[in-house]
Amino acid sequence: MNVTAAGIALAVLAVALIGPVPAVLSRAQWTHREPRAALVCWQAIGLSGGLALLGATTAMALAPLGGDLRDALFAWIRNLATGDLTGGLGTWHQVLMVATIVVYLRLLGVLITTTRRTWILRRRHRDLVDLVADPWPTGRPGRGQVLNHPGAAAYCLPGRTPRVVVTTGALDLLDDAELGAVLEHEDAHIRERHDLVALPFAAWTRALPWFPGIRRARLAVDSLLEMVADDSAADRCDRNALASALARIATVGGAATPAGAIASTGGTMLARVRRLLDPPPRSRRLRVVLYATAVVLFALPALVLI
Amino acid sequence: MARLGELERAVMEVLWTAGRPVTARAVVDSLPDRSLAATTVLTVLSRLEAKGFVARDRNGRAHHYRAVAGREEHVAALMREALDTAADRGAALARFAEEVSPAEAAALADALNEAVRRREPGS
Repeated sequence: MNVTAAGIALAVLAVALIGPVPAVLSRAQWTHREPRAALVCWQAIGLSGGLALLGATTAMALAPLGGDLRDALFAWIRNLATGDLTGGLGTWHQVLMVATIVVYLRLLGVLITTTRRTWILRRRHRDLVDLVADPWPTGRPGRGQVLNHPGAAAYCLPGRTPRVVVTTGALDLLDDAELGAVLEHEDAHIRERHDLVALPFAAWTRALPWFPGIRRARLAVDSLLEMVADDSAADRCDRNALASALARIATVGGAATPAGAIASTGGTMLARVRRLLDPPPRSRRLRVVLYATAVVLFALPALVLI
Repeated sequence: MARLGELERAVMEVLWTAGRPVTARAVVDSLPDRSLAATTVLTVLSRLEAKGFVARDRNGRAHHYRAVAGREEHVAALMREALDTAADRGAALARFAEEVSPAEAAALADALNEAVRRREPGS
């Protein structure tokens, strides 16, 4: 494909994947039926959208060099290597190329700093938990770290040395079946490394905060990850117990922690409890469509090189 | 590793109980396991200092160690971090349940009744 045509095609793809597609998909309740496939779709949208955006500006910047995108890129590098610092481009095209490289480096840089920050934050939190946590009460099922606090909360610190943390408030609030369900849910997060799925979306929300599509993607991915963990847990325990544990902690948890900010969950908690009580029928067809869409999205940016 | 963790907890316990700056010698003497070498305790103290949980004051020729914050303060800080939704906590930790708005809480209460009812066999 000619470099100018490639630029236009990639720009159209980028605009679609950053604007309308996330807007529609983040509101679509049917993604809750197949959260795992929907997650793969979101990952495809994120990767493909990013590549299309950077590819589009690269192609536009290099358009004067002619040929297809690959030819133009090689010609630009050859020009730079032979000492022509303009790369064979006029001023505006040079500016666009530099801007593209800056955005590319920023995306990479923010991913690295977010990963580092997350890692440091988590390690510090874990060190502190190890220092102040009480042992798991004998007579209660499961294991984990206990924080002596009246607020009802449960969370996990994922990673290679994971921790599950439950407050005494939550231990008092939940019966054994509910507690077991909570632990299964947290184990699913840890086992399937959901933190690694969430990380790039968190990073790119920070890198490009002015794109509502990216923020929507992040919120949708976070809820879908919770639903995936709910499903994994429901396979291993009583799903009604998981539902009641979720509803209990969500409604009672805040009452005991006045300092805790109210989260704008956009109805995710209610959606999670409802789909545990009345699981929507799983759809093989929807699954196939979502995975096929993901494959096509992964492949699309590469098509311009043909 | 697990042993070092246990030691760290024991040393913190001593500092929390003391409630004032104490020397490493005093820490060694207060530990339940009296057979520990002073160098081991010093290593643990400097590890805790590096992690920011213990502060060291120089008082003449002696070093005094104290806990930076009490256990309750640490727990409160952990809970704030765990429940904090405003700041971007990245993917540092995954919470089981988010807090909800009053409207959502009412709907959740109904769902809770439904869940509890279904869990009671024969009702």
